[in-house]
Amino acid sequence: MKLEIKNLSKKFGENIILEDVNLTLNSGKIYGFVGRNGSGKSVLLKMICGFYPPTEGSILLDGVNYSEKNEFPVNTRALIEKPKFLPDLTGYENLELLASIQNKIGKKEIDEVMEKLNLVKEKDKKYSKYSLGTKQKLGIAQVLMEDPSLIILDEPFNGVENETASKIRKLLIEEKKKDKIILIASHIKEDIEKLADVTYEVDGGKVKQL
Amino acid sequence: MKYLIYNDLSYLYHKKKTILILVIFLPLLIGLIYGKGQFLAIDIIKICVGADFDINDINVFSLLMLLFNVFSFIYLIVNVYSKDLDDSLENIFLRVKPIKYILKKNICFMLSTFFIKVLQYSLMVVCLLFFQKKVIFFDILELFMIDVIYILLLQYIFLAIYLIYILVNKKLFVLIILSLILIICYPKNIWNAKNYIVYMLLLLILIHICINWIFDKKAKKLIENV
Repeated sequence: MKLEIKNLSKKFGENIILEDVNLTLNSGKIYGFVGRNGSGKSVLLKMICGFYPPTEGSILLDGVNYSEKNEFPVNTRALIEKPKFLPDLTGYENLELLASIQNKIGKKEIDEVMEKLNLVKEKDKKYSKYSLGTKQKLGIAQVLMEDPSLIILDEPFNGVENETASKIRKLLIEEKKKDKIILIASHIKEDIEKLADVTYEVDGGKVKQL
Repeated sequence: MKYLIYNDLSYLYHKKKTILILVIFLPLLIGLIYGKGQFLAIDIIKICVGADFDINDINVFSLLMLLFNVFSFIYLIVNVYSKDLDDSLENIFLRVKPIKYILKKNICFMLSTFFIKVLQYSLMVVCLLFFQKKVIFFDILELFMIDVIYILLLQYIFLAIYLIYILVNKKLFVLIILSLILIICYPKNIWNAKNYIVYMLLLLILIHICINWIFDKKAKKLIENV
């Protein structure tokens, strides 16, 4: 799998958010994006998700340019900013509900992903009762449960304790070995450096490799 | 479909509880006020939902209830649709194509409006039975059907206007002009709208086709501008 970003620019009105970004991202690697808040990391990830059309340039997934069409990348899952779940349902019910959209996986896969993220004890607890860190873990569980080829995580370590963060890192390294492309953005450089094979800095609309 | 239904219900319950309670119980309150009088059951229900509003003979309750009925349901549709574009992006659009989403969403939302109306009318009927009014169910069913189609059509016309407003980068004059055209052209009397029911249903189908087209071709633009 290959994700190519060619001459990508994004403007909101007169504000230039991203300017002439060129990246080639291959499977089996974790790519990190660091930058202060508001530097354009989230916009870049949202554009890769297909949520924003580019002002100029294109994004190709395995040679298919989905960015200019009204299409979203296939087999991609993302956690952008904060997890979005239904507060009255349990963590398990939330995952089950999301899985029901495509019906690709069943209870077995949901159980597995909850076990991997140490969420079994919290399985039957209402989402509204979850701590910030547990909410984040459930957000990562919804990203991983359907075995996507492209994984996009924006600030995945927000509110997560060190021990949990280290478990998430281990899990992402395991996922990487399954030949996936993993993109992670954070405003904390250390979070990214511990994990990424290649790190990019996003600043002033430019994306450069560190 | 299951996700969309749960997501909408959770949103309405947590974020729009007050308006939902008003929509269901305000007509009941008006029913309680008019129930003691010498009015026929069907006339009381018409006042409760503003269905007998006549521009030449204005009844204040009817006018207020018509405005409330119309604006509360428009408010609900705009919020329920825009929250998906604003807040549930990765949950929905990475899992389902925009056209499939909008087809299912429309069904879910029409069902929600239908059930809110069922609840509204059921409570009013119970209230009228309490006042020992002679309730002719066929008349009420007829009014219910007209009211549902009237509100659904208005909701979806306004949603189409709102989507156009988003697509043109929220240029306010577009929203104002299109809303004014809607206010001028749309029938004001729900009860009299029964004469145009076939046209209203055809228009509803047409509006749905337009909204589906917008999502099929312009979903990204909507997400970006919402």
